[in-house]
Amino acid sequence: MGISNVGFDFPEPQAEQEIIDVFQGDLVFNGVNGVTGQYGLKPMPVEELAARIEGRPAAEKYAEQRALEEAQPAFRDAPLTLRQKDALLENMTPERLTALRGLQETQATQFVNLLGRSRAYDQLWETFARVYEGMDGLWFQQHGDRLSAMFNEAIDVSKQTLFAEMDSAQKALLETIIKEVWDTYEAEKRQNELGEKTSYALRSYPLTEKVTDPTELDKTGWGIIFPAAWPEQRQQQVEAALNELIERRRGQAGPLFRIYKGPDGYRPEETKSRFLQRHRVGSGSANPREMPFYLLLVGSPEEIPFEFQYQLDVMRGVGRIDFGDDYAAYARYARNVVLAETGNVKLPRQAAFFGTANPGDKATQMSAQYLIPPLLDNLRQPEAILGVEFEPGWDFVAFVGQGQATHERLRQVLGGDPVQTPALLLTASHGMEFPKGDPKQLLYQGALLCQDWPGPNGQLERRHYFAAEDLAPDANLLGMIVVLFACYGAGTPRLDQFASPNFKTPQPIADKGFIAALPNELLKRGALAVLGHVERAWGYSFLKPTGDVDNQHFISALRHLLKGSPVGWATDPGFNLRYADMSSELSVYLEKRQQNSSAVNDYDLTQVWTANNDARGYVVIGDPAAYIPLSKADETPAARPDLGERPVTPAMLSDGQAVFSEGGRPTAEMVAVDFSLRDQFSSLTGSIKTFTDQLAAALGEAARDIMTLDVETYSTGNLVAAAQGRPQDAMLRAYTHIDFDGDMKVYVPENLEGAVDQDVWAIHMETVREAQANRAKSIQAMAELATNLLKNLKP
Amino acid sequence: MLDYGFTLSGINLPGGGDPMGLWEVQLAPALSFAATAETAAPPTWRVQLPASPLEAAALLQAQAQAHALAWQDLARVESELAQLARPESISFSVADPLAVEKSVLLAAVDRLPASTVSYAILRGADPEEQETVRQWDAFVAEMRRIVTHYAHIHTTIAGSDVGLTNVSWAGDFATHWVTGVQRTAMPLHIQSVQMALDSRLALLRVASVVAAGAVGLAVKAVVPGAQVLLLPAVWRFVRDVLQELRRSWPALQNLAGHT
Repeated sequence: MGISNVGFDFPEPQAEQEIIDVFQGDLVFNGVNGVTGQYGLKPMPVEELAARIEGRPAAEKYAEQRALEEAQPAFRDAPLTLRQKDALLENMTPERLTALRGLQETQATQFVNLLGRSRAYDQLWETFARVYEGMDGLWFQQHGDRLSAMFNEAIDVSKQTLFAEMDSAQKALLETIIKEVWDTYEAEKRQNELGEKTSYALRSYPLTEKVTDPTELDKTGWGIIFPAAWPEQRQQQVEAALNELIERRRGQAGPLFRIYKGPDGYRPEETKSRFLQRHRVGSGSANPREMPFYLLLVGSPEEIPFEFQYQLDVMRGVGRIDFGDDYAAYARYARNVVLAETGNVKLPRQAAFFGTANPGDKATQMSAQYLIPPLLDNLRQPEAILGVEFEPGWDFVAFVGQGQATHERLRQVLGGDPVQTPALLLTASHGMEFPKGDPKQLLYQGALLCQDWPGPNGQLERRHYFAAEDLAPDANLLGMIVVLFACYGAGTPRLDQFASPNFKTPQPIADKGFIAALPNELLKRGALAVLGHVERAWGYSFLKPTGDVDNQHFISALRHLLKGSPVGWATDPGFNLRYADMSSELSVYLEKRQQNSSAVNDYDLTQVWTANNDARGYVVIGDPAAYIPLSKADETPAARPDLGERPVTPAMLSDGQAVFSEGGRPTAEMVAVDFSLRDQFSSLTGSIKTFTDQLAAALGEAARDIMTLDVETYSTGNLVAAAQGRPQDAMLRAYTHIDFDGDMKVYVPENLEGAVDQDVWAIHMETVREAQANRAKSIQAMAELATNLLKNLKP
Repeated sequence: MLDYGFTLSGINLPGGGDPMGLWEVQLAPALSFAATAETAAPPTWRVQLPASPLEAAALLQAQAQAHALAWQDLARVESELAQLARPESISFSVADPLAVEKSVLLAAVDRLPASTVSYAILRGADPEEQETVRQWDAFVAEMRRIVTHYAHIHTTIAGSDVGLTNVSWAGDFATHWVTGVQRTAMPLHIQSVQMALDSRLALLRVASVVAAGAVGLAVKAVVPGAQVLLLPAVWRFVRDVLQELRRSWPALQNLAGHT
């Protein structure tokens, strides 16, 4: 084992002030623009960034609030939270003030009622849940859908009443304000949950019951979430392609396996809390019986937003795959995960670190100095740190800085040279950025800018950054997990998450949100998962605003990965808990500031706010239950098996017609989704699916219990109590315990004279014979039923 | 009110009760809003025997015969479903005692959409069809309870408790005898247990026949998902055919109050 520090001399630790100076002078860790060759967002003093983010000075806002409250008592007494009122007034332009002051009393009342809609909706759901808690889950959801529809209809009617006498400009303005308040309420709920998460850290975290082995999916559960809006054919096609993985997970998770598709899937514009509500899942630590811990999202960020992934990931291990219409890629990925977990892949304990330190570029100088070396120092110690211990014998190699972290080196490490291709790879570099609408954006955004780039004072060329197409044609990454620290390394959202003046009208930075091409290609080449960043990554990822190194989340995650933990588990508690912690801190700052504008300065608030947004951006691309398939201690590591090609045939209809035309795209004849019709189909499927799950569970338990058979005979004066359990006066008269191998323990009944009570004994033995016969027949009947029901569920 | 009979409570089997016609299903009162599956009464098979030992024995024997007939009928239903699933066109004469049930089932198959992906027909628009779907849902829900709950078998003679056997779904038995029970009454309870468990198996078999029947008929429907969409219709066929076949049972049915 060894660590090769090649090509980079780590300077002596700097004085604290020097670190702060370096940090302050280069607040951002930006992407580099592929068109201009310059930073996507130039480094700037924190005051400038604060001004961009905060917008209007705080003092004005509070003066206007007082004016509004004096003018409109309805608002002063409105049942809104402090945050909602602040959201109402935060962007108080003269036009808004005039519009609100112009409302008549009844209009003001209607307006205030509409502002409280989100809260009222939640209260209605809570009441609904209490009333219908005895109902079957599917019926609950169907009734819930009707409840939602009725509620939304009532809201529409209220709005029409409010807007009846208004012109279009006024209407639009009030609609905007209402939406802002609703969005703020949702944000509040998120903050509360994130605060709750930090308090769970020392309990059975992150699940409601302690799990010692996170690969035991029958304890953690595993689920897959599809977009509800997918046409049936696409759903079937992708599911068929992923069938190998789905079936494996189903077998592993047993009753804790879930598929969320059709009406159960993610619905457009649904928030995380609505999704959980709809599925009757409480907030807080993950209860796998309510919803699995590991959840795989399938679909693009336009179909299932990044925002949903971030929030769901707080309490669970969430990953995503999106191969678009490439069904072969879905199938290949499924095959690779299964291959990795079924003993076909035995990787040697090798981990590589790739970090650029581009000349004149402080961002990469920082990561080369403050991210990679501390990580290496820590990982050299396999004994328990942060509660994570892993097998010794790891070989670490670091390619950092000049002459090492080159484009060619990365190509070799990513499958170009099998000898150099490790089980775990971490990279730290700039990520490439392109303007919206640029044809290069989808191909190259998030590509890794290598040491070959001469820095901001030099010329940028295509050969300087490593993109998906730069992988060697025969690159085999089977079993690898990759951690990318780079802007846009995992993906790009459609809207800018930073640097918008009032943070209320983010500008589009892409035509649509997308997963970066490089992690997708890595998965197609056998990597099991990629942990990367959506949007810009900041220096805050590993440095606190004070300048102290803050890398516990990286350490925790990497130690877990080296231990063989699933990637969705490895990011908890490091990355997810960190985000939760920062959000709690941010909410405290914001609330203090609302109460007293001078209590918190722009500098502090901006740092915390930026760090928070940076922390949430880390996502897993891939199955969150995937883990590195390491060779066991007594095994010899093996070369990666060939990936091979897995042809995917289109789904065939029973009349022999192929579902898709050439190119694998749905044909024009496909009918649009109709939720009411699909509801019925899904309802039928769902009920037998639940039945099959329960049969499987019962058979599983029976298989364990089949090892023994217990027959007890009691006498009692209270049969009513006997129906509910064991009456207190019950006297055990005879007992037979039969082991699977036929060994029998028998306790015979005695009469009052101390002799064997022959009558009771005879009856008891009759019961034993009946029990033996019944068990076999019962298990056979359940198995036959389960088999037949599974045939119904087969597409 | 009969002072003897075979009743099943704690299970709300829809559409006429026990499809095998062996137990009189006592519907549970509407659950309170606070009730959950765990607090609802468990499935309980009650055998109420007359005071006379001879009559009790005769009753049990009649019930045993009914069981045998019911299993034969179920096998017949399975065979009929297999026939209907054959790819060649089906014809049956009006003299066929099951002509009506077969027509209804085949009509349900025909009504499934013929186009490749369109579920444009609003299934369940027909009230009778809606009711069938609801009953199938209820049947599945109750079957889930049968599988996951204990079975209680309770025997009384002339209204007096004899014994109660709790059978776990894993098959372990715990039998409680009333203190001072007549020794001659004990074998009667064992027979009750046999019958109750046989009926439990029969219900599982019914569900299995329905599931397999839907899969078999799906090939005629030419629609993805037909094997699921046909489940309610097949269940209705099985229930109705079993009921029809019971009409030809001998007079033993009156003893146990079968429908």
